[in-house]
Amino acid sequence: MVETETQSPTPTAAATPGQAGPLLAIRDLEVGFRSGDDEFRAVNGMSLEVRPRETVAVVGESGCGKSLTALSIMGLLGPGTSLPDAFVRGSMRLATGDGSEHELVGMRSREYDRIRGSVLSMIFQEPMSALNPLFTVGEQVVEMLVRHEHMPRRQAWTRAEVLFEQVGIPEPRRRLKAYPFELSGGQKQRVMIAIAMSCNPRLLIADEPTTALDVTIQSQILYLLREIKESFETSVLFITHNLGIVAQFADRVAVMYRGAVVEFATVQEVFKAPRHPYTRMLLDSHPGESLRARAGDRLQAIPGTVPSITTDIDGCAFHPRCPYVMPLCRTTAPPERIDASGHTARCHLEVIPDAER
Amino acid sequence: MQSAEREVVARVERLKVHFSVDKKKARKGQQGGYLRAVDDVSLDVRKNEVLGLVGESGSGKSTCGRALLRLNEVSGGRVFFEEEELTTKSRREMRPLRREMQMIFQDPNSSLNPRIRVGDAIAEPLRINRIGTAAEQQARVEEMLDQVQLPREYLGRYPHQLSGGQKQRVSIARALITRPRLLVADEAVSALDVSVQAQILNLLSDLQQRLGLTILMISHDLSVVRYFSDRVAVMYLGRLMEVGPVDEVFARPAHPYTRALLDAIPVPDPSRVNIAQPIRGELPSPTAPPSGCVFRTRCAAAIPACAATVPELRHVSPDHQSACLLAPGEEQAR
Amino acid sequence: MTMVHTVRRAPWRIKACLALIAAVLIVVIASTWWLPYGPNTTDLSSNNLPPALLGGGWDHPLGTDPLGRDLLSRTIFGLKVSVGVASIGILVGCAVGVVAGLLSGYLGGFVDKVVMAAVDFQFAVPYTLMILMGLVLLGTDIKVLIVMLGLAHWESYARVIRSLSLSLRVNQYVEAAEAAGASRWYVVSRHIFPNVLPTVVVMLTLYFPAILTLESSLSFLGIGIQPPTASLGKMVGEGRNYLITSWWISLTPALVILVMALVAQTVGDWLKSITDLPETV
Repeated sequence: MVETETQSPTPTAAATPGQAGPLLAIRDLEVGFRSGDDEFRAVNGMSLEVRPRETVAVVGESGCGKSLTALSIMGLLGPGTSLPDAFVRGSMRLATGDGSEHELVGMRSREYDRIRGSVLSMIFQEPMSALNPLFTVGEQVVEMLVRHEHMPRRQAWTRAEVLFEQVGIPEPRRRLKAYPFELSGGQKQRVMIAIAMSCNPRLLIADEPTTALDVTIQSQILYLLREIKESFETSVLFITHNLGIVAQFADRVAVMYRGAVVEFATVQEVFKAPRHPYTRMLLDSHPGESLRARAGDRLQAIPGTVPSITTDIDGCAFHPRCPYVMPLCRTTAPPERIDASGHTARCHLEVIPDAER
Repeated sequence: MQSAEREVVARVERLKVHFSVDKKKARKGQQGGYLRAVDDVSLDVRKNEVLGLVGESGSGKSTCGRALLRLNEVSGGRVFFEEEELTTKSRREMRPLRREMQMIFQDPNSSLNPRIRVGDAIAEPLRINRIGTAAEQQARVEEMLDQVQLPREYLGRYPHQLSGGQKQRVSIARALITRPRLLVADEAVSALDVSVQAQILNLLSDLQQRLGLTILMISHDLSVVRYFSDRVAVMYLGRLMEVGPVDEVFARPAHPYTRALLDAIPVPDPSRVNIAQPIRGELPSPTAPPSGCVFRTRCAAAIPACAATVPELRHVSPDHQSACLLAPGEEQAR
Repeated sequence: MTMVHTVRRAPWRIKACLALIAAVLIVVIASTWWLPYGPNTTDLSSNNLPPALLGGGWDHPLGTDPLGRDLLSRTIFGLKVSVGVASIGILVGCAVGVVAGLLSGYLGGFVDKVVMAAVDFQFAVPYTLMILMGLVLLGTDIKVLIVMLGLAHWESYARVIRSLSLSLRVNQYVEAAEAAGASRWYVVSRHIFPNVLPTVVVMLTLYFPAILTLESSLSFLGIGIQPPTASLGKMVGEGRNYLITSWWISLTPALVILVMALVAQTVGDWLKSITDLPETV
């Protein structure tokens, strides 16, 4: 295992030779809010990467900064948006299809408008937030196609119908003329997926898209997303707090806590051999069936609560709640340790005792 | 197991809760007039058990729980609490019974009045029912606070100063302060983070054992129900599909809906990736439910007879019942 | 404790307004015992004198009216009458509206239908017309005036409080109280009313200028406060014929009305912004 103590290494393509460079490389991302002279950071030194045709899940509890990360990738923060006091620092490099790379941090809004929808796309937890209630759903798809692909309107309508069929909406031609309020939750999500995929983006960001749905509808949408992933050859950045979805859907997993990625590895490694105490405790506190907890066992709850982002914590952000805390953890921020397979963890410990399952 | 012979704490018999949504159609008896939130459900909650009531949105599980406490008006059937029939009681007659059955709610933010301090909120049921002197009430409040593992200094705080999990603890303290015999938990942990859920579930488990509570646990999250319940009842579109001991129902589900529900849960184990087709279709409108078995429009094993008759609950094993025309073996063979 | 703290942190113009309100209250209360001259003492030898700053001498700092009555005393007295009438009246209307709204929102059903029908009716009829008719039919006794003035906005209170009670009613803490056996009265008085109160206070301050100006308008027309009692609106009316020569007779009371209305509005806006509940952690 290679141990690197520098502040910002990121697992690069060298870790798995033969693969193309990453599609999206985030390095030391900081996202926060200014209020007067103060600023506080909700995302604090976050690094991860997404390769082409890969699904990366970002797991974390509320307040860890995962949604803000998604919004900052999409350029939906800062002046001119609904969160004008937010700032974004660090680096996010996106490789567009034509071989060029773009730095997303600080990108002009005109350029962002070109990329959003065509290279980058997002689906949200609440479909109503992405669908305009005053227009039919068909019109909203057509608008995307006309703007980004410069398609003539008649062709766009045909393509919209095809998209609706691909996302599993029954009677697609009729449904094109429906308004969002006439559709069920599951159908609205399908429409949102159709809109998001209409211009063949390279990266789809999904922010808790199934959290508000019933279990059976959730499984339908996940199945659909899997199909879409394959047929469109898109990478997906999937944000969720549901470990079951992560296991079923992701190739690699980034575990976030208080604004930073504390562990980043393949899904098998994260579930079978987690290297960060928080990941381990998150897995243990889940009442799902194949994890340690059986009916009748006590759940291993993580003691305490996530401290508010406005309080500063010295050293490792997790140390107040960590069962393996050492004196070093209270004073020094842990380095990012990477091993040969690219598994990173931000912890002073090399190995968690009794971690193998 | 002896559970079938255990004393019953609360019971509903052929419960119907219908809301009228379109008066004209309702009067003419047409479809679309009534929203059948709960349609002919019979269920009992046994002493000292945790009964899980699961279902997706529109299943009627919350309405059922509320009807048990008579927080909803009942359109048909009967509700019993320890053999006393509640459905025929007036508001005034219900009042002394209310302290015996309490509820905790889903949304920690709206379960507590933002202008009332934690200590007063917990004491409220005692004050409403005029139990004890002021000093006795204070003592009980402090005791409950200890039971839910909150420090004494929280008594003077306001809800907005507490986290979601802490607010739920306060709600639990408030619900249990009158020492009720029945506790209904309506999606009590659904709005909480996974790690906080675990804390609250552990707390409820401890309290149940220590205080000898009977709990009706309403949830859409099957993993929570499986962890926490002794028996489980599955509802769909206002009807009961299956009921039985939790391990048995989860290991050998008898009803196609239960099976579909279990299959739909993503398993948190990357070595067991499930790529099978999920259940098709969407929930029919509760104002116009399908005839016969309400699940037949999405059921892979449906036969013509399913449209004709509403299946009754039939025993699959001594304590395990399922409302399906096909026996489990038959249906799998299809 | 927290109220003092809130006031201390308010912007300076709010502090100025609050200071002005305090000053007005002191003057008005003191005026029951002491006024430079009586409000109705006439002195025909010194009528239509201009205010001191325009050369009239300091005997009558604000000048006199056509009947030689000292305008300063009359203004103070008029202020007392106008503010008094408006304040009491508004409480009448508010009480009626709030009770109607609470009953309507919480009880629903038939009560709700009846109350809402009355509210809709009230909204449809121009109130000035109603008040004119009322005063004609019932006479211009000051008590009648106060009640009729006060009822001017009851339908607004009713509607706002009703929708507020409807949304509060579905809060789970209300259900929890009901589940514990609370009576309807308990729920309304302990959970609904306190949460409705801040809105009521804000509405009171925002409608106060409207009532004040309504009274002034009626008095100006001659059907509000009757002579010889002074009221600001009446004083404006009395100076009508002298606008060119002794314009101060109308202008002073008009300015006072304007300032009072502005102050009430400003304070009302501020109260609205501070009664929002703090965000959750």
